[in-house]
Amino acid sequence: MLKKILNRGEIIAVALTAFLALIMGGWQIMLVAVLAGILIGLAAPHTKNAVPRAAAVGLGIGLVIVAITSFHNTTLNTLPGQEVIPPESSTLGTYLIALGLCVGFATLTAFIHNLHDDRKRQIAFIAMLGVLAFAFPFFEQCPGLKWDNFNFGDMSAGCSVKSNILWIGPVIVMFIYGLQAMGLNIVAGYAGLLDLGYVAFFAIGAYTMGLLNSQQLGNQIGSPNLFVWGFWLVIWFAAAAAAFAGLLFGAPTLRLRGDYLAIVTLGFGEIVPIVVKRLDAVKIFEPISLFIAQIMGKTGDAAAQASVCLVGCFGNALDITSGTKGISPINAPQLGDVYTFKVGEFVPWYFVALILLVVSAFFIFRLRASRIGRAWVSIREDELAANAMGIDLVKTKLTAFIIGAMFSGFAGAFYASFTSFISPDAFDFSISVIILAMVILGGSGNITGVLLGASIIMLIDRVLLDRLKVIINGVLQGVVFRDVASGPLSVFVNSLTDATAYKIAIFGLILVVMMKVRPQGILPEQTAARRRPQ
Amino acid sequence: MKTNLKVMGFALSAAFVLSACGGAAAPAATAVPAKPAATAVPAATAVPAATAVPAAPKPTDVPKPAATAVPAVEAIKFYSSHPLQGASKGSSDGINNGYKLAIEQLTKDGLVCDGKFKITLELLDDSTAAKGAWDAATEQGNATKAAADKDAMVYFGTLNSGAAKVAIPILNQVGMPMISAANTAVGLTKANEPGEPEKYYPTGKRTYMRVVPADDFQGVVNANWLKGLGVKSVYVVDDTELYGKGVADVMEKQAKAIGIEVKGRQSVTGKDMQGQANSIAVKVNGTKPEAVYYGGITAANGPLLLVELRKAGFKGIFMGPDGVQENEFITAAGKTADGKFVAEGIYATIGSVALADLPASGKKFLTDYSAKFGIAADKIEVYSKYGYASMQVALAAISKVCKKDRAAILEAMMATKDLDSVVGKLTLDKNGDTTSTSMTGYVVDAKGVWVETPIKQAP
Amino acid sequence: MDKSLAPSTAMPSFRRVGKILLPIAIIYLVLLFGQPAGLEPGRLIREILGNPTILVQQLISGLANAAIVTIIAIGYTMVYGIVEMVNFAHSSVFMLGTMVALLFMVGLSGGVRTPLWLAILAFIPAMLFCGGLNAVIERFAYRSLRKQPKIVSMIAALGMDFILQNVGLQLGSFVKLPNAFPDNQSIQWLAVLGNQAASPKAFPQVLDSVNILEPIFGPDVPLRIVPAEVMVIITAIILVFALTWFIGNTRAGKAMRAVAQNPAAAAMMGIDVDRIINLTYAIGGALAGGAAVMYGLYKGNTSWDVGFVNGLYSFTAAVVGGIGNIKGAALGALMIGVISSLSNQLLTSSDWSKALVFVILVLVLVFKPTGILGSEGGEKA
Repeated sequence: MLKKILNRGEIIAVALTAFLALIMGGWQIMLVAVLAGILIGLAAPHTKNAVPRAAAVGLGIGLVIVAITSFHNTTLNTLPGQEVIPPESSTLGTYLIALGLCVGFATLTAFIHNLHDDRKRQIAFIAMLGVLAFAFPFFEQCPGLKWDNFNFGDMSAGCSVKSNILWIGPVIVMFIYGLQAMGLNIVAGYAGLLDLGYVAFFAIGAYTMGLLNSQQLGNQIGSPNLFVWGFWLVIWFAAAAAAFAGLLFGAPTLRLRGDYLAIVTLGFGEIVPIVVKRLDAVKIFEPISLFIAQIMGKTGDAAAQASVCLVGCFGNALDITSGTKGISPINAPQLGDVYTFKVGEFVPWYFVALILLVVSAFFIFRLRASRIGRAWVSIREDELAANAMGIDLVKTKLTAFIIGAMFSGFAGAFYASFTSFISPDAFDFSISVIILAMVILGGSGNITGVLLGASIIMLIDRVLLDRLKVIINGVLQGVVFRDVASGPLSVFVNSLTDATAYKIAIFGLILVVMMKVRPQGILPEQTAARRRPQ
Repeated sequence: MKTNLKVMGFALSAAFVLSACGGAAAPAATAVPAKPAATAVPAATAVPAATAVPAAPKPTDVPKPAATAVPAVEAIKFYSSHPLQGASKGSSDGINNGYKLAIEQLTKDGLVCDGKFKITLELLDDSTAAKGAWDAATEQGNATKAAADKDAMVYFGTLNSGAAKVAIPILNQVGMPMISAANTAVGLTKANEPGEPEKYYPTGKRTYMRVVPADDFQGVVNANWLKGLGVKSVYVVDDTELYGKGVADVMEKQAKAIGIEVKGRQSVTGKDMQGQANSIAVKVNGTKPEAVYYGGITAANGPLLLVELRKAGFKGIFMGPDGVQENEFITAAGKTADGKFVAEGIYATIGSVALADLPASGKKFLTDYSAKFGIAADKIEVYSKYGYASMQVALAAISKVCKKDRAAILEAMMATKDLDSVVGKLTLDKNGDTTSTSMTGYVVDAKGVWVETPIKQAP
Repeated sequence: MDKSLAPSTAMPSFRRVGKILLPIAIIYLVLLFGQPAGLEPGRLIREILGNPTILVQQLISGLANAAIVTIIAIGYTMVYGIVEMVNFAHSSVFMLGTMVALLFMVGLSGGVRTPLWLAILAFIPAMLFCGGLNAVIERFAYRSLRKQPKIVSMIAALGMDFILQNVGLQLGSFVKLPNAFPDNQSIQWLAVLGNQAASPKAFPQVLDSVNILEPIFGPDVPLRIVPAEVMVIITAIILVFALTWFIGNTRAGKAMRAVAQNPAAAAMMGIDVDRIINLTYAIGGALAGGAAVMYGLYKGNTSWDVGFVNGLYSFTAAVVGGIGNIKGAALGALMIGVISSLSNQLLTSSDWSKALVFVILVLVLVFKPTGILGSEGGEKA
């Protein structure tokens, strides 16, 4: 029945946004409406009446969203454990605005999508996304708008009430991971090299920023500001350091094939945080004199006095990375004397991250189209043939590795400054595999796909699972297990049905299901045979 | 093309007209019908307040006189931020339960100041599913959320000292009090590393407190106790984490200072302990120490070290800080083949008065907690009582100032003096640290229970 | 151009000197930068001379660790050999195996002393459970992905790993039951799950920790071997031999080898490839179950994250030895077990032992890109 009216893309769009509306409710009706509109527009068929059709479907889905949101606001939200939704988000006005946004964006997107001129279409899409990306931080906190309060100077003042569910923090983190996913995409997607230790470069970038843009090193030698070089300068050093590490790790190991390379890179991913963690009390002596002193039976301080000291000689041992304690605070960027970024004031950070992401995407896009980009893909498709055509395998792989590492270095440097705190725990194996999952899930080899993969995984991990957990807990404890909620079993049932404890499993389930439903990724690369012989 | 443009133009204008209608309708709509449904919750809570305080008019009466008689209930929000996923979930739940119990017992349905304020607690999670552990960006988001919330008055957390380093500067900028039930890193409040603690407080004003003693004190007491037990040599093992390594560092320094020979120092992560505890035990036992000091927590698999040490034939003293003083440690170490507790005879200290020693509040806490959360009284998480105590500090401060003002609440919290808390008389010094220096020693008896024992000091 | 020509024509002797100097320089640099890890040869030599038996003692503990790692590594290597996929979920199957074994032992003995025969019996449920679980996972999560690039099934395996870990973590919630019904004696043994879901859980120790060398060599013997160590090593040997026999001598084993060699040809010869692959997963899982019981009996402890470190070492062992090769897995495990034990003894932190294991892994692969016992044909294109 539904299939007769809507095409496949539209059904997916409806299902997805209906689900989002169900779990977000009044908190984010505007965002959900815009998203629904764009999806409907993209799903519209390439026919003459595509635009009116999209408008009609947009109206329909808008009504569905409004209905579901009001169901959430009035019914779901009365379950135990829910937060009180601000009243402004369930007024008729808010619903009408959401409806309008949905129809408007459906129409606009469908129109752009049906432009015949490729170039115009691209520009129009980029312009639309650009406007949305620009407007996002000002509106993301608004569950409902009040126009009488609106002014252009402080757009967020238009929010009658601030949403409690912040998207902007997760979105900035999403940009950081998106940047890394694009970098890993060069290595794994373009050149086809399986890298399980990509986090190593992230860590190196972050620690370069941490060491050269905080008082950590300066404090060791008594002049705190000696190594505070500023964000804008150090981010280049960080990228260079990561790229150098890529060269260092890649040069000896890139001859390895497939899974052997995977485990070696995994090794690098483990070693880098360990080294960082243990460099918190460095004291280095000249080895020969130390050897002689120790073999003579001197230990501890006696051995130290008898040998030539090179590093960490004055009093305490040199604390380079601060070990598990982590480096903090790391300085934020400054715009001349005009403005200093503050930790926790997200909007400026958002724009820096956005610029970093867009510029990187542009460069990677151009790289892919260049000679070296084609060489990467040819190596991935058929190593032997590529070699026969005169492509230097090791050199080409090495460039992929180095450039991929460089982008991770940028991401790491930004991350360090953004969170203002880094410690070795932040760079464990799970980061490597999550970034890899983003690349595979989004569509290995396709920048848009990879960015999509990154946003989906990050939003699931940081925003949606949190909401979902609140709803599931409410339903389980308020409806399903309401009768046992007070008996002796209550503690057991509460702990067994606490959805917080299942977030990791839900996340895993999503990965498995997505791989089964769409193994080639959501937006696979549009090139020739991506098929591989078994 | 042209028709397309026309249609689009029509649809777009229709959409924006719709939006404009929405905009125009919004204020009207908020004014009249939508209110009752949406604000039902605070309104409903206002009613018991009205009935509770004076000889109130019936709730069915017209709301106007009630509103003038009793000032409207203002919302005060508390946020807590702990890792609710992965290995730290247990400790976090314990602390959060402590908060909840305190609010339940010390307020009437969250109402304080004669019903002037209604307190709600929102439990935030600073871990992510993908990592299963706390995450700096998430903690930053949590702190920012609390900082931006005009109703938020106190921030409870964090579990990990690293997370505190992220949260303190953010909350410091908005002058919001933050109180932790679990951070023990010395540098958060006192000079330790260069630049600490000033670098965490950009405004220069202290906004951070903790009800749990910092590491520096405990390590010293542990070393002195070993000396008092007649130990001449010790091997120090740490779990490489902020807490464990911090305590072990202090302990090692003190041990050297008072003339205990430190046979060696080994760092073992919790994960490596799972695979390598036996060879670590061989190494430690190979130096023939009289005692082994383990700076770490149960969750970092400290019990495995103990088991393997005993297997390797080590018969000396095993001691740890309060991260070890958990029933968890005893159950996790298990029993030997002949039915004895492996953990029998190990020593640990905790940084407060023993709960059972507190005349009323401590015992009451144990029984109430056990009744509410279904956990046997002797198995309650160590940090839950600190969670309760930190909530006591916050509630006492709010009841005292009765103002919805972060600065005033902060001042009152920092001035906490002789508060009768579940961890004893609680006083905070100018750094926000507890002044309590009482340490309690424990030893595991043959029944597998921690029993209090005097901390013998060296003569 | 000029630069590359200059040294070869001008100074041939410079090269010869360089050949000698380079290793010296490398060793010097290693000693220089190895110091933060505790790499001080002078001190180490004195320590070893002072107590040489400790190295033998470490060797024994390394051997015991290697025994467990071997059995897990074989699970990785078998699956890899046949479908060329790294089964990330394998480590969590192992972890669930320890849980099943623990519940079986404690549940049947009702919380009092667990007899030895019950511990040996625990191999059956653990191996059945893990084998079955692995087979079910293969059937429903991986099978349809086999035609896709390998990495797709790896991500699916990763997802499964998350799910299984979460199940392992949530098993701990059942500890709330005995608290809810303190009068019901029949469920009190569940208290073995600890106080919290994440807490480490103690296995019953069924073997006394006495030195078996003492009755033979008297009380002053410097070495110490406990029965548990003998038990794990013997069990590992039995399992490896049983497996080798199975693969070499049974119909199914031969079919497995055929599928590993060439699935298309095997299918043409009438071998049900799907079933054989499923069987491989089942056997790999069963071995993980066996390793789980060994682990529990030897280490006396388990927890929900016990899979990670054991899985990592096992996977590394499989690769070092030459992935797809059972003997290689055993050899790799032996190397890793012994190296990490010795480096625990000599270096200052277990972190460095881990780093050293990976450095050696990198070195092995750089000089022998297919692992120690791997052959060029080991990895199919």
